[in-house]
Amino acid sequence: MRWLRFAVLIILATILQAGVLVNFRIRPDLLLVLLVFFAVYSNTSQAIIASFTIGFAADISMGAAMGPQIISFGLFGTMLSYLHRVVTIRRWTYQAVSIFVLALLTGVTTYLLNLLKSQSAGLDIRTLLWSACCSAVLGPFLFRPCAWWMRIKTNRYRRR
Amino acid sequence: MARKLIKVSERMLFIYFVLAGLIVFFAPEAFTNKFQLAFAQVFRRPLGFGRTIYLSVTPSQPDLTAKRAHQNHISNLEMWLRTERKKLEDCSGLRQRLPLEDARLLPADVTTAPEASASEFFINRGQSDGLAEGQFVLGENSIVGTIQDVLSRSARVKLTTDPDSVIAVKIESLGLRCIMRGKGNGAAAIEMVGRRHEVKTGLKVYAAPRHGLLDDHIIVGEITACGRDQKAPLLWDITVKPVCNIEQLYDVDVIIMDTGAH
Repeated sequence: MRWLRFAVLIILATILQAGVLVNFRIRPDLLLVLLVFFAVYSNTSQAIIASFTIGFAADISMGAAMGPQIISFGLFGTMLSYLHRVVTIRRWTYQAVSIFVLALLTGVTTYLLNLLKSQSAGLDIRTLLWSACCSAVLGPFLFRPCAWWMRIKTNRYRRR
Repeated sequence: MARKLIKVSERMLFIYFVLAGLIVFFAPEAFTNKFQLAFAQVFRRPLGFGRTIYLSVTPSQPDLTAKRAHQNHISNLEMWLRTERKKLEDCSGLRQRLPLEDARLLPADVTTAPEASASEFFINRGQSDGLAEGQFVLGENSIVGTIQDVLSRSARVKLTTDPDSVIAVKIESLGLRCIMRGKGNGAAAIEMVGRRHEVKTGLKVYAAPRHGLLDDHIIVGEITACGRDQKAPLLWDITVKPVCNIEQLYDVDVIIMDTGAH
């Protein structure tokens, strides 16, 4: 893994998410797309580091309390990486489904963890669903430029 | 060799990161909030640039914004007039001050976009500009929130709709001081108002004066729903929404009162 390129990509995605996309009520979650990308196209150790780092970036950029997204992104990113050992997620439809499911899971987990910290502002199911759809549709198209930037050969990866 | 020494198993790596996540999760907010503030401060230019792009492509409604600000200003003046009349009745002949006459309004740009459901945003002013925690923030001539955390050149504004926000307010024509608590998702609730009071939708809600922070009533929102409280049937369940489009806020003013210390 080229960690410097990874850092640049994450910073760029975080700024885009917090600076531009945050203005829209229904928006794709770029950091979640990157989470699935790294869980699918890197080895498990790298995926674990990437998942928690992306979670930290999500927590920093989204306001609210720190911690819920580190835990939820880290947990589900690692789970997806392990799942990828037995189920290949190479076709774009599978990738879209993975993004959709992960968006829902991380959204609900973040909400529950925020509740634990008594900081939750209510779970807007409709927004969560539409944002998950948006991420799922857009996500697979972002994988190719991400792979080019990270110098990852997407055809090389199969089930680990 | 060196590569072998630092090799950590996947399981241990996962455990270390989960522990780190839990530490951040349970760490005091006063400490963890510094990360978010630092991010907003370091990347304030690209974040602000992103917001400028969004606002330039969004169909702007300058007339509507100006009208809303104007209406809020009129509401503030009406409330001030009402209070002054009452004071004049009590002790005629004394000169009264204009609202916010002793205050300095510090203009600030919103660096991160406040969402409708969000409960905070960042501004590009900080401690070096005289900002301190608790100061009220004006948007479109209405109170939108208070300063929560301050760094040297940036600060976090907690909206009045934040679940942690509690401010003293006064309902128009009711003359009753009550507590307004944020509910999240762009709304707040007024607590402990008895059913004997005549509350109805459309009534304006004003932030009550607070020593050293606010010297007069300033509009904060409007009652959008009121009904019987399910938990306490003798009380009202009042929902208040801000009279300012938080999502379209581009700049705000921070009220810095001259307390006469210098």
